[in-house]
Amino acid sequence: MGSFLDYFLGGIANGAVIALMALALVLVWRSTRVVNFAQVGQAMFTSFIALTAVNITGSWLIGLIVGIIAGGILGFIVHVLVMRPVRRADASGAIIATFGVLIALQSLAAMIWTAEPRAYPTPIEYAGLTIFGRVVPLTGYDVFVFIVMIVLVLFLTILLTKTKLGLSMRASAFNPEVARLSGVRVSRMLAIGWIIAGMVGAVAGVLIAPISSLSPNTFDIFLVFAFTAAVIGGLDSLVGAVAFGIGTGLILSLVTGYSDASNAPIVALILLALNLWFKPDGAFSHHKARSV
Amino acid sequence: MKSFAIRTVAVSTIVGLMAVGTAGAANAADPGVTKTQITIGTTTPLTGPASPGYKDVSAGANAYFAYVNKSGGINGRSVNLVIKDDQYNPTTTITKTNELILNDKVFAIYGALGTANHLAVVDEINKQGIPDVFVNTGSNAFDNVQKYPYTFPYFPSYAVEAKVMAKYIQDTPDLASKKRCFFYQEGEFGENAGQGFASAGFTTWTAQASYLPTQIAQGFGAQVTRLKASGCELVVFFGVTSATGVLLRTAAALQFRPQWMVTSVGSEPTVLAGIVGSVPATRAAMTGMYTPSFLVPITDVGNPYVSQMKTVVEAAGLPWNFYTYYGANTAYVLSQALKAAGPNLTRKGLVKALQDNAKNFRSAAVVPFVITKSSHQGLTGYYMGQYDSAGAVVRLGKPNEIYVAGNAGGSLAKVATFKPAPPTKKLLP
Repeated sequence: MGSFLDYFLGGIANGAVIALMALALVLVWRSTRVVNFAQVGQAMFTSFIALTAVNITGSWLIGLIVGIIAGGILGFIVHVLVMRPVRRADASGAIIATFGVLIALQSLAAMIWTAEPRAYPTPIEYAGLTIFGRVVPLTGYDVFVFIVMIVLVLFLTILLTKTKLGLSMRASAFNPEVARLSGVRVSRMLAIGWIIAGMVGAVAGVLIAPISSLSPNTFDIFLVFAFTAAVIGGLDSLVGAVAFGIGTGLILSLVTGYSDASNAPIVALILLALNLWFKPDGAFSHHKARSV
Repeated sequence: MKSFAIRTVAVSTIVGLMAVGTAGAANAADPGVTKTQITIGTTTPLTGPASPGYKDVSAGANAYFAYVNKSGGINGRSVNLVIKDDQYNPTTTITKTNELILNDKVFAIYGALGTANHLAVVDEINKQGIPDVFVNTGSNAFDNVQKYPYTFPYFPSYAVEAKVMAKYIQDTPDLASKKRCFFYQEGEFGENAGQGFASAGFTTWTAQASYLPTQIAQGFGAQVTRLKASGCELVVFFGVTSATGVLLRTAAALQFRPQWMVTSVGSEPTVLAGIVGSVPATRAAMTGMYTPSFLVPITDVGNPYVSQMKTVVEAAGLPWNFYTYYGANTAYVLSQALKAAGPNLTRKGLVKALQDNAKNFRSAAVVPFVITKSSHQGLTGYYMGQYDSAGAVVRLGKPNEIYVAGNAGGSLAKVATFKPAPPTKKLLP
């Protein structure tokens, strides 16, 4: 029973960072109708920029702020230089373009910062909390990540559903023609979508980096799990992304704990396949099935 | 496994077809050797996730060859090392090895890196009779004279390392009395080690856990929880260095403080220090960690091998770390083999030179180097080292005390003494 609690709490800690990355994927999808495989690359790149700022100033917070700004700028650059030119291509063209961006960013990061893994500091001590007299695999830092995640979801939900900007963004993504006829500046809305997603991705990156280390490829595996969580959650739903991000973390932790590490990714992929088979809309989606 | 088999078959076919076309031409002199130059080739990850550290191995070797070339070369010939980036991807290794053989017409393959990578090409290299010297992996799959007569490992195998660890644990009462656990990387790396322990009679572990290379980024919360809950007091770890860093960090966070014993490939001090950073609890976990090794400790700058190789490496503008050290060292050994093969250099001549003279080759290794007609083991053992509080590995035991074992057979490692010969004059072959 003690072990179960440990695997459970550790899984939630793991899941929170998966959820954060899934959030960024959902944001791009909701505001541009593109699945952005470059998201982990953007997050990695801005985390390096943030780490550089931390090393210069010695302040974790300044690193975060620099990272968020860089995330917004990078999102805008990706939109203007890559995504806007390919917008007339079909959906798969845009997705392949995001893969290109991912590879380009990884190579560029390796050229600038080298591929050696490096430590990223935490704002709170990375030490397991003591619950009922025993140390559990949930650190104060994990709780911090969890709180940031909840704040982000609330903020983004309000932004997208309760503000005029959010409505315009969703309209631009869902039906650009109609949105344009209604007076929405579609191109600007798409750009804003990329900027906000880039900023959320940057937060995710800065929060994930301390868990192991930062290198051009550290975040790759999060692409797989965040994508799984986002798709099962319905790609459209922020709450779905968070719920299934945490769910994925839990499953990975429990499978690794009770059976074998090598079974963990297989179980995650089986769940994804089952979901696409039985409920292609995604568990939290309100819309008709995506046609792929 | 299946995809690997298909790949191997596909490649063998392609390379085989190409070989048919060139077979007739290779009679007079062997490819890659002219009056003034010897061309050899290597495949290694220069980019991609596996490149940190590993990319320095071929660079270190090249630094040594440049040094030899400047000093007159080997039997009047300079050495030209062609380095191909395979990104640690076996499919790419196949392409790049074909390029080396067909375009660059290399005399020999040297220092090819990675177990799965080299397994994808080793059959073909041997079929074509190309010397395949000093494969950079601890897999014992390449120590097979019948199957791979042209392949010569250098690195002492993971199986030998496991037997050395087993012997050391058994002979150290403080370790033998501890509840011991095994944590390993999934795949051939961990399996080899597991077989080594099993053949030494170490089959009872209080707990075992494993990880996939892709899981390093997520931390080892679940694995450490299992080891801690099982009451492990000694954890033997077979994984890569970036994983060691994450393991120590996760364990420190969970206040899990067993005695650690980590494979030599999982404890490169420079990389480890970079990952561990300045976190005091994790740094503390590093202190006292056991790790076997087989070269003179890199921090022993008073040693003539270390000081001279450091000079050669740094003169080339490279960082001085275990990887550049290791690369320069095997390049030094190969240069001695090429010299021993004589001025009339042929592929068969190099193989004979290796088999006849390996025991006389000098190097920074402090364990015997065995290549004979009947064994291609390479280095045969390790000494036991331990991290001090400054993050350096200190050699343990009596002076020149080492542990040796064979790849095959079910015995524990044996304690031995081995005093390596000093380097040749100016470190030249």
